[in-house]
Amino acid sequence: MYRVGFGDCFLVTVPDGKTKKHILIDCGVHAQSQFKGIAAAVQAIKAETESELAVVVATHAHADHISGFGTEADTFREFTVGEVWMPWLEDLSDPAAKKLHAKTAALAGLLHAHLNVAGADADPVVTGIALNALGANGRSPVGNNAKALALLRGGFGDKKRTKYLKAGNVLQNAGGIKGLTVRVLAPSDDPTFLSRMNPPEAQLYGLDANGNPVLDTLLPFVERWTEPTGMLDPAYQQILHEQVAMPMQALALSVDNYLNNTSLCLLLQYKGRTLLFPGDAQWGNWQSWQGEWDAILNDIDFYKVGHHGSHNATPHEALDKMTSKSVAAMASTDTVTAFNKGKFPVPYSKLVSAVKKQVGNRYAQSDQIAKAGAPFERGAAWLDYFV
Amino acid sequence: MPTPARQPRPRQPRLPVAGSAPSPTMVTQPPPVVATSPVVHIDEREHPKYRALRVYAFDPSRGRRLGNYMTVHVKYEPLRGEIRGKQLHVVDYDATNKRYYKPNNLNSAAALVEGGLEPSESDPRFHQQMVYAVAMQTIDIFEKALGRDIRYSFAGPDGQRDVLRIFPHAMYEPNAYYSRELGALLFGYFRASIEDAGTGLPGGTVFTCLSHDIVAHETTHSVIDTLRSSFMESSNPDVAAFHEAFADIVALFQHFSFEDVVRDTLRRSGGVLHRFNLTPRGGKPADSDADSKIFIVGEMPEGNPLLDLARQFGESMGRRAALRSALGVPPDPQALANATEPHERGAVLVAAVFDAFFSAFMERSADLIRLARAAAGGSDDIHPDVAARLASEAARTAQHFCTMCIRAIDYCPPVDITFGEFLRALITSDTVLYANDAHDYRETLIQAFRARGIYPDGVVSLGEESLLWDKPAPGTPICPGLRFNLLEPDRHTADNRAALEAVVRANPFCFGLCEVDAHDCASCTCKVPEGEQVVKSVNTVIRGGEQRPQVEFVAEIVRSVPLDDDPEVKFCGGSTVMFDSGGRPFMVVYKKLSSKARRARQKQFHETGLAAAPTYVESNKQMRLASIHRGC
Repeated sequence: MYRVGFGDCFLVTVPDGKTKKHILIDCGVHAQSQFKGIAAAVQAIKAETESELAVVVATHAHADHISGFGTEADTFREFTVGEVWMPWLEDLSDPAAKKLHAKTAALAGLLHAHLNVAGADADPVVTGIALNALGANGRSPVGNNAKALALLRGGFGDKKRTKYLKAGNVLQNAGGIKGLTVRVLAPSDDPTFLSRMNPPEAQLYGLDANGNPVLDTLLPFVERWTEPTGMLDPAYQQILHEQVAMPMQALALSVDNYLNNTSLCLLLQYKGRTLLFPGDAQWGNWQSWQGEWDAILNDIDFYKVGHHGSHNATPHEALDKMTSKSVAAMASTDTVTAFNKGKFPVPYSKLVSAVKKQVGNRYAQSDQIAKAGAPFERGAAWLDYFV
Repeated sequence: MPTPARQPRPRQPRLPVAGSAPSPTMVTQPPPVVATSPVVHIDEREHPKYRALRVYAFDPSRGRRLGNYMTVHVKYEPLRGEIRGKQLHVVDYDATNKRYYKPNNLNSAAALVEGGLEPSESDPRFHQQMVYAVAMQTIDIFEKALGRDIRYSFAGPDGQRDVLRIFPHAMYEPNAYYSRELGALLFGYFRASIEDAGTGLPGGTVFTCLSHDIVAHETTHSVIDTLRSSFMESSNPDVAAFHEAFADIVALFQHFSFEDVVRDTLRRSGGVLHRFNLTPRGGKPADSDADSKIFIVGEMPEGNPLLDLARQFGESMGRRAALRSALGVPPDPQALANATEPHERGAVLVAAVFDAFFSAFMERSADLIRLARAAAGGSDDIHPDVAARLASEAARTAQHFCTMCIRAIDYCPPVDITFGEFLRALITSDTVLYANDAHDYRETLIQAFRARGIYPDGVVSLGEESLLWDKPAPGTPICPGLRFNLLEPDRHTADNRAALEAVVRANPFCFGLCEVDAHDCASCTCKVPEGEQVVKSVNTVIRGGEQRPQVEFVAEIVRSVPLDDDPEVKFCGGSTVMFDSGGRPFMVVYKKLSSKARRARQKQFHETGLAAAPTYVESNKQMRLASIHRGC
């Protein structure tokens, strides 16, 4: 785990005969993270892997998982990359994925338009979400995420290297690494799952003739039905306005939930060791493979704590099933960062204590120094764990 | 007016013998003896009984199709200039556009003669009329079933109020919800989907207040909240789901009172009310045409409107078909265990209730169907007369089931309801009323619930007697002084509550308010803090059924303490207690405040609940229906 701030950057190294093969799972940091260690991390990865990655995985298109592929694109272009794995929902040649993608993009655009109007007055939750979805500094709707996605979709120079994965895929000798089996647990293409994560249509909130989002107005009746005055008390009216104001936060959260739930959830199996990387999967994503929890979770050896340890990304019951004696867990977060001190601090303290209860001292958090006696090795910009 | 005392006393039959003490319940005052009693003229009535109002039976998307333009008769109340009655006040204020719309004067001669305005999407005054009519109807269903008036009470930002406000055009949002904070039903309007608007106009304006189902659904939320305010405390996965399911159940049962539609459906489904697709209006296409590939609207199969819920809304959002999808899969006892989202869990309960209803209807109508088939030489065609008979049978059965469900509310635990407990409440309330289950309704319900994996905890079997609520703990005291006045139903409400409050405070253990697990009736030393009212309601129930009418009382007793270190998260406990007319408790539902298991379960639910919450709604606090309905 590279200590990049609020964001994921994990390098899985697999011995392959006398050499080593590397899989990079995500490389990004949140725009509002105070600590930004991406540049250093990418240099460290370059040295460690001698610029050779068997697989690059982008679990989902949030800045805190992919920003490095944009800001450090020049360095990455010098890498030799075997394969790129992305969730099938990022495959724009798939009609269903394309439709959902377009909807989310329109919503994100709406958030962006809102930020430009609201400026410093914008709700911090909405701001954080918009920045993460766009990867922008808020001024341009086409942010760094677009640059990162271009590199990823383009397979680091060859489109054919990019594979879009969906639940049910099983890759034997994955990424050309002998003996490595990768099972894709999510995202599913099951219609129930898709309908559950279906974001609202931006057009319900209004788009102009060019398809650009605007804060739409809809007058339901012609002018003559309007009455000049009414009976409501100002105090009452005030609360009514607050309650029914355009639910920008609800809209923002729906974008956030959608993107998190596109997360590629991977189970890596190698020589009897099992590692689970769920990206930022939230409930819907977990739920889609709930039937397999029993079979999978009780003997995993490593758990990448979902969504930086947020309150809604590791189901209690799923955690309860991770009962293997050797299971370790890592969470990437930045508790110093100001935006992470608001309404929904990550990690959620109750979840952290529940994880610790399950894994003992084999828990590491990227913004903390591992406890003495914990089985982690500290490097310059990273923490190592040997499974 | 002359003073009555000065007048010679007219001869009057003597009133019941003095000395026989008035029964504790049916206290009737002897009528004041007056000299010249006012005389009623036979040809004049002070008030009309009903007000006729036109509404959509479903929503505008069905147009003028058979039965969709409907006139309902709501209980008459005087309205002045705007729609502001005893329980409801329609306020047409649009908070998104910050403007009022013109109010509807239902007292105009035209409105009185013609049943209000003709259904129209473009006239806000019709919308006001429709929300009023449907909400009144829904309230009426509850009042008839419970035998008492529904009384709202809200502490709003502008003071105490006993009227529910209805905003037919509250906001530009594809949503509608009940807000306790505002004491209001808020209906949104929005543009229909452009990609997929179903039968509607892509991009057209959709009004949630014009959907009969949505209005009935939201009104039901408000009524349930009035009857059981603690059901807004989401303490287990069933609580939010119960609110949703119950609102759907009441909305759906109303469909079966739409005579024209039901008759038409019966004719086009061969008497099978629950069939998904109806025979096309133009009859079945002839087989020989099978290859000719001509498609005309008149020959296309049509969905069964009775099974759809808020179709226009659903289609405009590109989503769901409630009962259709709930009944469209084989019952799976595991379904409930796997469903966590409130609507999904709720659908299981709705399916169970309607499974029972349709099964009961089939049973009740089997003879008629056989007669009809025999008369039609085995064909599926139903004679209009038979359809009419079946329709009234369906309406009666639906009304019976809906009434059963509503009556059961009084018998539900006061807090923390589960679906299994709702089944027990259903069985108990019906058994108390009808000792015999002449139509096997109870058995049908038990079977339908079982098929969907809805089991109550802590019962030894699914037999009827095991499902009845328990006897009170030994030592539970009698509550003397419970009274009821048939002519003035509200007269003793406050006194009854005070009388029971005193008894409960003296015996917290017997009413589920003891806080220490180890205590028993004798050793309990718990005290209810002063200033906290624990008796939330004492309702009078008049039992007719098969027996001589008798009066009983049902009390709701609740207290809440903090669940954890967070003072805002509550752990509620208490009991629902049934008293006979002499104040003797005979049945009780405990949700003990001392229950460690329940406390642990609620804690765990909050942790998982957080994990399962589809949004960042603070689901460990009081739930907000808005968020559930926003569905994001």
